[in-house]
Amino acid sequence: MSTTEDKTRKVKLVTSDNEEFEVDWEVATRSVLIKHMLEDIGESEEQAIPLPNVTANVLKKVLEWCEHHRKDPEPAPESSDDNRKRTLEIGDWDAKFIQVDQEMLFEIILAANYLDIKALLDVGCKTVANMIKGKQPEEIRKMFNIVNDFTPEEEAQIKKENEWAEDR
Amino acid sequence: MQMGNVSNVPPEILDRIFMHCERNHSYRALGPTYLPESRLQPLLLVCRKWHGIAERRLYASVGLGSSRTVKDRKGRKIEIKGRDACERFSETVQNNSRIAALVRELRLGCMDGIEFRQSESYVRLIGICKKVEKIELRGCHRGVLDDLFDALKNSDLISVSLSHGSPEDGGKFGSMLTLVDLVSLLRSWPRIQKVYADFGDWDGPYGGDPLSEYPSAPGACSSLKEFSIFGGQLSSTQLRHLADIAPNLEDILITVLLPIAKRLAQPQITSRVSLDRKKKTVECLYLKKYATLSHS
Repeated sequence: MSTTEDKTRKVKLVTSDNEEFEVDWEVATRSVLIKHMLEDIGESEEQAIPLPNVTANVLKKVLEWCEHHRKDPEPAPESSDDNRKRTLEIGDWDAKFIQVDQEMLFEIILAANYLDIKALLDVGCKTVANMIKGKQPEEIRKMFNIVNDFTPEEEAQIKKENEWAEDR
Repeated sequence: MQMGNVSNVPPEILDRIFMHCERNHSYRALGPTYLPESRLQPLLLVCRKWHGIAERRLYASVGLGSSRTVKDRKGRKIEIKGRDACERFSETVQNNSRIAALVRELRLGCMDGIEFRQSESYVRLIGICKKVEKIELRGCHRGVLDDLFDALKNSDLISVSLSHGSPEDGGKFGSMLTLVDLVSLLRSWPRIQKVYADFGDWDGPYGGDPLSEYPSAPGACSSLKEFSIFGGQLSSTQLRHLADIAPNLEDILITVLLPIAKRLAQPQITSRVSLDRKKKTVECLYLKKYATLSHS
């Protein structure tokens, strides 16, 4: 539970390329990782939080998302029933926010995963899922520059054993 | 430092992306459908890394039985029969024990009317997929009920849902195990957490239900929390057995047809039961707390 004092508090974050960001506590704690780190260091407000897996340009983008969603309610814990509610829809602001090049898209996904920001991770994953949807394997490989490491025999075998799930 | 590239995405994130790719058709407005998780098939053929992740997801929960219409490459609509998909799936898991071991959940239905061959395939699948821990089965041909009983007995389940067809279906969904069978199966499943059974138009207590049907096995199902039956009535013997084997049971939901509700005279149930009118013909008996059941 956050207090009024928490909401006015500033948090310092240091990226892998040594850039320092000072942000509101409410914005920084959209990240569960940062929230837990702040809980661990307690009142030492001056202590900067190192983020060795995030570069400044990616953190800037992530913080833009956190700023926009700073008032969002805490996400509910994931359950097995989530499957039934699954949708590929993304809100208008998020859809515009995630219109970035492929490299930045995957960097945001990796950063959201590392920083434990489930809602941002889902925006990224849904965006990639929308890119994949309805595409043939060859088109997917081309889109993401993936090398086909199957032999023709292996490909034939995979097609045969998964024929039952065919969904053209 | 990781670069933003799909090849750097760890398997758990790829799996999350693939989850969003799946079409969600477990439940539709007109009731459950029994279809494979679709849209994963192209992902299997991208590369080895994607194959491993998509395959695990595709086989974790398998639905079979409903027919579906898909479009071919030229945009023409073609129908894939539920029974054809089932035959192909059976062939795959029969020939590949590694794939069979990936199956954790089987959702098997008979949407076009029950056939002996299809029921036989379903029972065989339960036997082949040895790691399966959740089973949903709608309808079964009378001729394979004994085999179904044996297959279920040899499975290590955490959840089971067995449904009989309703009288309005004209019996096309076939038969299902009896309540006596179900209760006697419980002690075969030490990890069972949830049991649901729909006995359709069953309208009276079964005979031949002495306590000897249920050898004592105190705490054999200590994980069992939810026990729901529709169209059946637990005898006092069965309640005592349930109390014996499932000490942590929390919810018992018994839904019976109205004429049966009027005849109910089980003190264990009527002591704490609340009648809740659901439809014109159905009363819901809902016993929320296990505390009202006693061993005496």
